Amino acid sequence: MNRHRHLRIATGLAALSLLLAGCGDLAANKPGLDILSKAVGNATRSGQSTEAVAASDPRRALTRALIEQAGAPVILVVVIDRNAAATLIRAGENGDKITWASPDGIGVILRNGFLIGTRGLGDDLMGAEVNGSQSALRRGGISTRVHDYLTGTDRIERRSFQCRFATVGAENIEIVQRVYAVTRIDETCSDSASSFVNSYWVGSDGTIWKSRQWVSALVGTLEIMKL
Amino acid sequence: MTGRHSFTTRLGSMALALAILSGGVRAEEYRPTYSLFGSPGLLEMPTAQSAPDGELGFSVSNYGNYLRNTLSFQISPRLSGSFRYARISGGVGTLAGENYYDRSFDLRYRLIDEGRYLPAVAVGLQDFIGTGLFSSEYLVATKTIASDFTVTAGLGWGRLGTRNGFTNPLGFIDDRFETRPPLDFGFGGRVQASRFFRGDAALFGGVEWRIRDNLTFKAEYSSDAYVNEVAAGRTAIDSPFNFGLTYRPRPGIDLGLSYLYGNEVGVNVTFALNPRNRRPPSGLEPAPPPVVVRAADARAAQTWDRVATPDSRVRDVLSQGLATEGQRLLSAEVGDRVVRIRYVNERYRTEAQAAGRIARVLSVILPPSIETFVLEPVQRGIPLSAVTIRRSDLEALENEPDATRLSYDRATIRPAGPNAGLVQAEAQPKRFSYGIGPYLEFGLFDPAAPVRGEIGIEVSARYEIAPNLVLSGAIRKAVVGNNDTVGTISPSTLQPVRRNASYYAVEGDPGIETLTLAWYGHPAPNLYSRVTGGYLESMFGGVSTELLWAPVNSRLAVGAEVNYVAQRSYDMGLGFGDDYNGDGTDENYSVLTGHLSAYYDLGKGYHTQVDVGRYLAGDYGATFRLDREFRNGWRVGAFFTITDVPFADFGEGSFDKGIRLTIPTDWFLGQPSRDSYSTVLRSLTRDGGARVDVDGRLYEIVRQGHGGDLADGWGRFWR
Repeated sequence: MNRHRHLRIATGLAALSLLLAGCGDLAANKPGLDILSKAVGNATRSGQSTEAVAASDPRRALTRALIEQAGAPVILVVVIDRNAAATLIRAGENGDKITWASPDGIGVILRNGFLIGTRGLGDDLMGAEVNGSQSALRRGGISTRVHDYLTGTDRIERRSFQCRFATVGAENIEIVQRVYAVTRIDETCSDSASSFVNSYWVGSDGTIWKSRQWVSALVGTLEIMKL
Repeated sequence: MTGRHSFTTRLGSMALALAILSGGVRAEEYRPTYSLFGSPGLLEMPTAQSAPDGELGFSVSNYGNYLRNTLSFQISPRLSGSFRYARISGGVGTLAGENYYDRSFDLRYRLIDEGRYLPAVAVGLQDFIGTGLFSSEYLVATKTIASDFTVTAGLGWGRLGTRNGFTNPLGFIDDRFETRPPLDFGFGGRVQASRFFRGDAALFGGVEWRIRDNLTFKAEYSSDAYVNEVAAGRTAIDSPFNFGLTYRPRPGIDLGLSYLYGNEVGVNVTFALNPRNRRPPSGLEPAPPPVVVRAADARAAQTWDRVATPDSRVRDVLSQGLATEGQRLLSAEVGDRVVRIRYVNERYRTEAQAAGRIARVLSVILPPSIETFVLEPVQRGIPLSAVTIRRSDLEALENEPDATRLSYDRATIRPAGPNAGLVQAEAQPKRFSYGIGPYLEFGLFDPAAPVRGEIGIEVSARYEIAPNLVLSGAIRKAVVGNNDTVGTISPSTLQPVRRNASYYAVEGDPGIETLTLAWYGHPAPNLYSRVTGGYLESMFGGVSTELLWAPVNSRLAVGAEVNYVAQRSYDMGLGFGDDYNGDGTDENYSVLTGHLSAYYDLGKGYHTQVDVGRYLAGDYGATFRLDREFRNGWRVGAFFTITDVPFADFGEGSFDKGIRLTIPTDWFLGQPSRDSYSTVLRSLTRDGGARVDVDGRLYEIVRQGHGGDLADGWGRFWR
């Protein structure tokens, strides 16, 4: 049901982009829309030929060639507790906040690789204050992060977590046939009700190639890989 | 369809959600177990414990001659109420006889919270309205001795003061406390306040030991000696001690097995549900489209090129953009810097979520010079309000921490603007719609049949002449049910405006349920109007008119309704008049009925309504309602109606009263929906205090777009 709904939205917005393609000032928005329609296009247009790929787990089906072929930035997201995986395409950009989306309506929002929001997972992270964690990733030590949750009574609950950063060590990780030399850094956080550990695999240039970041009690942790 | 995603595999959010629903259960505080009376307690005796705020408990218990069905609600953290429908086999009191059905209400208030040394203390009234068969009052204290062991001791009056009763200690206040006046229930349904805490008192108590997280042992000393029942030889009491086990296979389900009064086995089941616990909490609808952020120079533009992009094209694109979010564009005013749109939210329960989605769609499709979005939600053709959102705020706040509060602070909610300037959307959707589907209609706690109802097929159709002028109708045919017998209807001096419902069920199958033309208006600022004509409901047809004064940001609304209606024929065809009084000749009955209503939002989710006027049987009186509304759309409330009909003429129950419950569909589906399921548990449906059941009364429609409901729903703005 979800998927169909989203496809409808997707085709709808794709149609809009076509409509707007030739209409003067309205088309001034094109860059943003372009990203969206590309995401939509990637999701709906190409390859009827690769049904097998779609039907199977992207973790097994992904190849470097497929990633290159996509021609757009892609991330792989795994909901660890559910052992469910999907590739997400860049659907929106607002400053340093990137919205990644899957065609069936899952949204993941990252800020410099830090998870600051999810949509469509059921117990979503509605927003997150991660400035402290971002700087602590570089210099270590302790920091505070604040998560916003939508409760069962439609209120926003703001939860503040105390976190400690620790470098675990240097590793080589492989992401779809490509090996990266990274440093693994763990962020251990807790508030009165929950505790979790986020892990970041950071390249020498500061790129977070892979991470495990906690969403909420019911969703658990996402593994996110930059493809 | 799966094959069309070449590269991106779907995450299967439905499956994922189901896994979440059935899997992870948040560690929760220990919840008290329920008694055979269906409220938190031991077995037959109450405790001072309260269920978590908002919890609803549905209980069925059976032991000996007693079958009890109870709905309990934790009205506030301290106050709880129960409504009980009991079947007593073999008669009651000194009266022998067949099965006896009894309805009763309880209230309990926790006076003192449990502290380090202090126990929790509560005061309660059991069966305080109605026939009072189980009427008793108590003061009870419960203390947790170890984390898994609680002790309860209490002082009971009434039934709870019948074993080893002693002279009422309240006698030191006034001697009158020492005697309990005899039960004089008349036609039942009245508060027996003159008996409260009167007569002999007795002690009761017990312990509760949580053997494991899901298994509790209970032992109690009951102060109810079942005096009348024992005297009549219907019950034997061999011991005052009761023992039981409560097994909780999963949170929310209690299964109890007990050994009572030394000779009977009791069983009880409780399903506890808390409206606060929505699973999954944030819903499973797809992610919204991301905000498209304008470049700084584009943002500064004062105009856009209307020659290259005609207004009609903008409206078309708006229509299609809104449609992707289940929103129907009615009209738009597209300026250089401002866009104002009227639309019908057809997907989301809250107008706030619809507004959030629309704002993001507008950021995708509108020229960058347009800085201000004025969103005017419309229901039944009435523009409800104007929510103004600055596009730059949307860009600045998207995915920021605390965005919900910040966006609410920066939005403005005002009355809807004028019609002038708005241009109708060219692409109007189809105006005719129809549906064929099942319906379920049931009544609970009828004196003769505890559950009465039917399942059938409903064919409905709707033609929208204009957004505010709608012709609609429905025909029903029952398929299964036990509504097909008239049964006994107790006599009354009143016109049988409701009492004869079963004749309609029998003779009007199939029948025209409704066939109406409804016209809605917004004649002046803060003023809304409705005229509905036709076959308004299964038993009455005529004209219903209503006027409502409701400022957008006011807690108070005032309405007036005047109806002229005639009673329909039992066959539910187009005719009026039938043999209502059973004398063999047809009569006609028509009545002018109407009410003045005041609606007030008390805050913290409590809402009240008072209606004063003339009811269907020609009686004059007032209806009082109090509802607790949760922001997620759940409502639990109670009402009663007192009219000038003498209790004797009203019949059993003395006056109309009941409990109503509304459960929003999106709460249990996890998917967006504007539907909800509502039910009313009435003590008895009689002719006094009855109102026309007309669809689409103004207040519930208008408030959806007003300040209070928008604020309550704003948590979903960014969802």
